Amino acid sequence: MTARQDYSIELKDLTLGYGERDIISGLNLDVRRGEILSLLGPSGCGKTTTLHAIAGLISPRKGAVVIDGVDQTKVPINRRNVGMVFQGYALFPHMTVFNNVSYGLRIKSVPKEQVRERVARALKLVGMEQFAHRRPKELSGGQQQRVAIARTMVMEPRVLLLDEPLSNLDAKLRQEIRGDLKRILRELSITSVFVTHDQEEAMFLSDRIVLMKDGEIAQLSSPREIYNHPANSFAAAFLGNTNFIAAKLLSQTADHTGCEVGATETGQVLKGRSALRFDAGQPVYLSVKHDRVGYTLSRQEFLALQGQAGTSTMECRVVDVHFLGHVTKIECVAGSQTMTVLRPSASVPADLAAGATIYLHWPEDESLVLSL
Amino acid sequence: MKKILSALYIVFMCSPLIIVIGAAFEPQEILRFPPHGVSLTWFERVLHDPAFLDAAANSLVVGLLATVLSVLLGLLAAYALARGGGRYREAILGLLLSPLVIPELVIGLALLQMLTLMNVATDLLTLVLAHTVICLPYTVRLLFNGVNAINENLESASLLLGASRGGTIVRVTLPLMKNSIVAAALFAFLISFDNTVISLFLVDASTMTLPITIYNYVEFSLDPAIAALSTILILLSCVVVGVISRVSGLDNMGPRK
Amino acid sequence: MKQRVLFLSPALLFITLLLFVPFVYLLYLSFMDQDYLYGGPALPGFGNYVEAFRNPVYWESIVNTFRIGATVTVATLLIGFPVAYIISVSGKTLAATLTVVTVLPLFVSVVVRGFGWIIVFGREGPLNALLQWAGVIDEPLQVLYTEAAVIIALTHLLLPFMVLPVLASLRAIDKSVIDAAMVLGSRRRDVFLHVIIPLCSPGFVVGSLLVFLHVLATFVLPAMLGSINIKMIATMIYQQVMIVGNVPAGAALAVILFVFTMLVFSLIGAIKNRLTFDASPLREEGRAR
Repeated sequence: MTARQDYSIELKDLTLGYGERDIISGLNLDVRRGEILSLLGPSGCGKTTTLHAIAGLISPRKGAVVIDGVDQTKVPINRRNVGMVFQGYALFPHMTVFNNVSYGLRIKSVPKEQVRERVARALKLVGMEQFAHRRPKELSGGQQQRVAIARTMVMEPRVLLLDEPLSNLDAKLRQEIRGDLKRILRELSITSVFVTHDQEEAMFLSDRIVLMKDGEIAQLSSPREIYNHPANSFAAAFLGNTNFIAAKLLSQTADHTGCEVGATETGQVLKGRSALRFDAGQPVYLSVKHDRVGYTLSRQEFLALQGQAGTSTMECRVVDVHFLGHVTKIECVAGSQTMTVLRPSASVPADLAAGATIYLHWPEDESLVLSL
Repeated sequence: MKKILSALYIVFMCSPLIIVIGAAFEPQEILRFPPHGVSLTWFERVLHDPAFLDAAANSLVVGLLATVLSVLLGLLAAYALARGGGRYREAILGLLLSPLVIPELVIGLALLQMLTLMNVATDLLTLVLAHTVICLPYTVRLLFNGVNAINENLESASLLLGASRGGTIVRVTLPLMKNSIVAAALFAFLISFDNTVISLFLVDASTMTLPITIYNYVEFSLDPAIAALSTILILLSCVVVGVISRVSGLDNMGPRK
Repeated sequence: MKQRVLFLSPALLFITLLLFVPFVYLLYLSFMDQDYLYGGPALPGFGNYVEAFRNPVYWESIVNTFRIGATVTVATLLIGFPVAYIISVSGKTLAATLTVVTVLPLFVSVVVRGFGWIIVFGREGPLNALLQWAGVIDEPLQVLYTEAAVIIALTHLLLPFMVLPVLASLRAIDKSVIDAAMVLGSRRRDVFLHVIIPLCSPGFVVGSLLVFLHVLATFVLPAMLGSINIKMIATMIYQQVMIVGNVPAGAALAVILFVFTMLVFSLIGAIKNRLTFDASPLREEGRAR
């Protein structure tokens, strides 16, 4: 049991809503000190609402937000000492970079010398010292984001919240800024919570990911965990690159770690790992990642593999082949069951075309049986 | 065809004003257009006439006070409505805009009767209050749009950085709303300055305003003095409209209800 | 939250004390006997209201107002629609000029405009001069202090209230609907009659109601240009209160005016809600959150 003090932010039984509906109901979440946590999910899952609740921009209907062990319910926004970087950065357009960053300090009547020093330090941290006298509209998106971070960090907040920090940037810029952002957050070793709908961003930046759906936590784990061991088919699908084979449960080992399922379309019996207990006959998905599926075009090899223990196989027909640069995506079908294979392009013959018969194979260990 | 109709329309719409301006330059004591000459005698007359100067001073003072009052009240109300939301927003907005719908005649009459009942004399102060009532819908509406145009995230950011709500309004919201505030103030001023009907009920010999002076004068004599005075008023209106359109664009205006 | 109430109360209090309360008092007065304010008995009743419709002078003023209202409305419609149409199809400069010329007069005090018309309509004024020069008449016409003068001046005053709503309606017409009509073989005249004018009808209705609303309550121009010849509701009220001293009668007329105004205003609201033609399936619903 980790001691209470190790949690920077605790959400206890949080219920939030606007108007009639509750967006979040009875949410419990503990954020460890110094970790980078992401709230990941599709539009409307409640991730931004949750972030706003931590900042105090929305009051909970029930439950509490606790920061450093202190219940924040009665604490007004301007006393929480929580730093927040908004989507769109919300830099004050009528102030220079310097005045933006020094805003919080000036409010507190910090002496001028100190202000200058602290602002200089903050700008150095984000690499924007040269821009102190520019105005926000003269800056690029990435630069604005850095100024926004400097503005929050100069106040030495207890936690840092970021609302979709990279979604305003175009794809190429996103890659560059991502790295900078991670470096800055690590250097600061401040508890950070950010919201995103992009799973790659979440995996790149986070220590842990909170996957949310319809106001609830679908899974809370490290990126590796959540990718390799999704708790349910939503997690598997959201994190992407997963094949879902519709099937019915035939049998399960006593400790629920292994299953046998009957594929609905092809009729095959397939084996896979599992983390939950299922009922016999329950409809499930056998999932396997796109990049864990191998293939062969030789029928002989296929027959040989079929006999191999610990290997699952499936005969399919190629529907389309997409060259994506360093990987190639092969889409195939077995009846109405679609399968996707992702292989390094070097290993895929350029003449592989639609209509060809393709034999897929993968280790049983890589199959995960998930509920619907 | 288009051009002819347009020209006719422009002439029609501008004629009363052009004719007044023209008649102001008439050297003789006859009201006519086109004037038989160009002379500034009547302008001089008007600018030295104590009655007119008094009326001008009154109009200015009342206008300024009514502007300040209606902008202040309007700003507070507009901010609360724009940022507050809530179920009653539409209703409250309707209440604040109601003077637009009620005939000025009814407003002026009702106010006069109430002041009489309370034994309060009609003076510049009551005039200021009356003008503020009809200026308020305009300031509320313009300032409401002004507040809404400012991204709420900016205010949230300010709060999170430690500023109070009041401090946020002063440091962030108002500076960004400069244009709306100027437009609202100019609008209010013009409405007060030009006001006739309500003033008719609440004005007396010592609190004459310019429009009432013109109105009364016309009943007794028609000479170019009034034309000169009117020309000055037209000029003033044009200048104010010019500033408003510079500051906030002509699209924001209009008698839309 | 409490702050919101604090911010709203000054303005609300102001309006309540200076608008609603006086109006309620006016309503109260309208039921009183005409000598009530001179120390006479109250004698509450509907007497003043009955008088308003029974007394031929009052009745005449109501009928006049409605008649002039209708005339001005038609006039603004006939002039306003072509102008709005021209603005909507013209290039920037012409459109801007026409719009400015329409809106600018609103910012000049109504007395100045009234005064301008007095000069225009005078026996030796430009209007008579023009008509005589054009050979239309031999003797100068008496235009001032006639209903015609009031109607012309009111039309001029209220044109913006017709042009702007109609313009808004025109601008709201989806261009592709007109293109579709053309592609289906309509001639310009048909497009005009069967597409543009029907789709403008919200603008026509709103504009007409606004113009009528203003004529109901108008005082300055009829007073300056019609004087005692032209009796309208507003001039009647002023006369009763400020000259005759019969405040309760004036109050009753004022309340009647208020009721008419409210009726017209709610009509505008009701029609605005019903007459939206936006059936575009391309309209985006909802926002991603």
